[in-house]
Amino acid sequence: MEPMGTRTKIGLIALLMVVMLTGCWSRRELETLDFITAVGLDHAAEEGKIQVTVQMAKPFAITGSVQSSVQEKPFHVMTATGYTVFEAVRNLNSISPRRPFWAHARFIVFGEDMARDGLQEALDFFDRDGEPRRTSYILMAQGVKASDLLQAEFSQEPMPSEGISELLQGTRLAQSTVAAMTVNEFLQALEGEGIDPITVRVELIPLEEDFAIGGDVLRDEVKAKTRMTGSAIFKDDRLVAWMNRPQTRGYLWVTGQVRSGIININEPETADAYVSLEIVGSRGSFKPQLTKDGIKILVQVEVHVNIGEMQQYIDIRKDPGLWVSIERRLTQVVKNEIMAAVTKAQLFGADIFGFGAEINRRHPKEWRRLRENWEEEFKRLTVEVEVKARIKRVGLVINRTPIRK
Amino acid sequence: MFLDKISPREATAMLIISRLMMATVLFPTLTELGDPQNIWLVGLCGMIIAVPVILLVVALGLEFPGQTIIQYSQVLLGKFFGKIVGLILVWYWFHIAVTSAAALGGSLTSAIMVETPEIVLIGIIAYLGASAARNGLEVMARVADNALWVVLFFVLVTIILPFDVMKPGHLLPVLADGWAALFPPVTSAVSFFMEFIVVGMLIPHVDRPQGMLRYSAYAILTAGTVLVLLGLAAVMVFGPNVNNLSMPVFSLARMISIGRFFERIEFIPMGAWIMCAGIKLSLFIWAASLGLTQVLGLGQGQVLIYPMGALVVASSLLFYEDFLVLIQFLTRGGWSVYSLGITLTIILLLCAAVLLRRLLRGGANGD
Repeated sequence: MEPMGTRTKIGLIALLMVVMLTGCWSRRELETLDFITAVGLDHAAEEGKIQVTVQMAKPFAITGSVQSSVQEKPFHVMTATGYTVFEAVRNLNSISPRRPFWAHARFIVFGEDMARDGLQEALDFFDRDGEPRRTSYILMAQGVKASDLLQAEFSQEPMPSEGISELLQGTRLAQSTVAAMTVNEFLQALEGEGIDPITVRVELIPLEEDFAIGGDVLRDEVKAKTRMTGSAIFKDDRLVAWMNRPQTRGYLWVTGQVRSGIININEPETADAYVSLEIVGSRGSFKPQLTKDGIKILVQVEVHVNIGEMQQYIDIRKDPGLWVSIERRLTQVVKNEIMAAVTKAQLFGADIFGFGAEINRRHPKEWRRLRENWEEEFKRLTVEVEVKARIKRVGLVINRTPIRK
Repeated sequence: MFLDKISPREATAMLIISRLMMATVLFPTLTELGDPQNIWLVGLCGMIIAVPVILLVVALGLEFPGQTIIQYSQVLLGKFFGKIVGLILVWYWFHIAVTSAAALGGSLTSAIMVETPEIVLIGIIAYLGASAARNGLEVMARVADNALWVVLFFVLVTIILPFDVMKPGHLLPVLADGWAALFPPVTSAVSFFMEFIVVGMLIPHVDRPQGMLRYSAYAILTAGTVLVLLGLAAVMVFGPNVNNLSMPVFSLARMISIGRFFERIEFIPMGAWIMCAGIKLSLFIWAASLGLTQVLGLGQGQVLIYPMGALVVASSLLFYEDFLVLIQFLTRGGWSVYSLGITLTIILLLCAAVLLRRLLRGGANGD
């Protein structure tokens, strides 16, 4: 090819300048953005409207000097309403000098009133828009509005949204008493056949009026804090019931999501004190069996525990029968938790476990017949639980220090 | 006329990248799928059907060494009908370039650069593609050969990294609604492979034309396998939601979050989009311009490349004014019928003509 002429070169440079010098179209400068860290959705006071509450980071309060960061809250809360979520979101622009930026929202929390009426109208924005992510968690606020929940603070964590995220991770890992779903999982459970959504319950605990919080936090006192226990179960997109901690763990056993947690059983010999067992490993799965008498779900759980605490002295070395006894009691607790979850779910016809989906996977032909009337079938089905429990370790002492009388 | 020479491997790279382009952007086949869990079956069937058809095109090219599909169709079908077939093919390639440009522009503006005018994005990519084509097939081929590894790396990253949100259970049950449900998505998959008819323009430029028999099959199998893997990853991550997504691969990359630190890496599929689109546009703009010169009997093909590129930009905004029009066309069977109709008719026509010619000549020799 012939070498490029001077005129062509100049032309190319001019063309490049036209592109470059006009700047970038879709640019967003950091200092013009307001980072949303958490979102709350409620029914607005006005009939038929949706209220969107956002918790946003205040960057200058986070990066300021130590003194100011302690005294000034590093977040602020804003509320706007609209007939759709998107309208409400845009209405935020009329009260926020900075453009709200959604990509860092950790979770979306729904007020109970709204969740009871169904989330259908509220979810599409978070799936369709390019900024929010499907990896955010969905939370349900029990008894309060989401906007109230977003005002609650923690004394050790300056950003409440960060605190709630840590709370969620903490309860999942240490207790296995919450079942959380991300937007991705929630939407799948909504569209999927034979499965209903379940997600985490958050409660607001009001504190005494003049509750003094210790430490270095000098800003105006924390008025309420949040607690994360149990879960909310859904029939389609409607919240139908709350599950307490044992019921939620029952759900987690069935779906194989138990990570750790404490189970108390009666001490086998005298039965007037407790032994605390720490779950260190578990496996759980279920198999649908289609028999003549109806659908039977066989739940198989394997649980490994360490002895975490004994309130009374027993010689654990003396008799392997004692271990068996502890394991048997543990087995019963796990069974009880599972049956509590199943009973609750069946009562409301909410197939949170995905029994139907599993039948579809294993017996697609039969599912074609069952899917029509799945709610009734689900309420009728029987669940059989098989638990294998093992005590793995005992901690740093074998027997507890006995008290000589 | 000076003939650029490329190796079969470089031709393969161009074909693979062209095939991956539409799938990494819109993945119409996945969207058309009723039961997402059948994606791998659809991909497999698509490949199995596409290989023999494309091999026919290569075999035709080998029958007429040194001639493009446009040239030998004039030999086979006579001047008039040959030129009509040529014009249809030129239109088809032009339309592929237009559709790809529109898909890229529409996706970039939907996903990230919402405020940027589409014409700027399409214009820049089409300019890059056309200027590569203007410099000749060798340049394009070498770019494609190097870009292929980058594109494959980007795609593999998107497939593997969302592993923590994948649920293998979403892949069952297979074929719950029987084979009939596979028909629309399989036709869609095959119809996109039919773009490989452009190999008819490449063969005279390939230094070892015989090798293209093997290599075009490799192209289909490689592209098909990558598509199946992408589809499997998307289905495992999004389950029943997968066919609601307008850009499944982009959404897949948005799910990547490793340790709450390695996240927000949507630029990876976008990088793949832009590279694929640049190379695809250059290939099809080149094919359409060269084809047009050969239909019209003009000497120099290169002259038409920039005008063709400009036409592609303008047409992509004109044909697909709205993203919805594009999606409707690509995912509701329109494109499948259109693409398969054009390519299968032409391929069968040409094959029939070759057989007829052989019969006649065989008869003549026998006498």
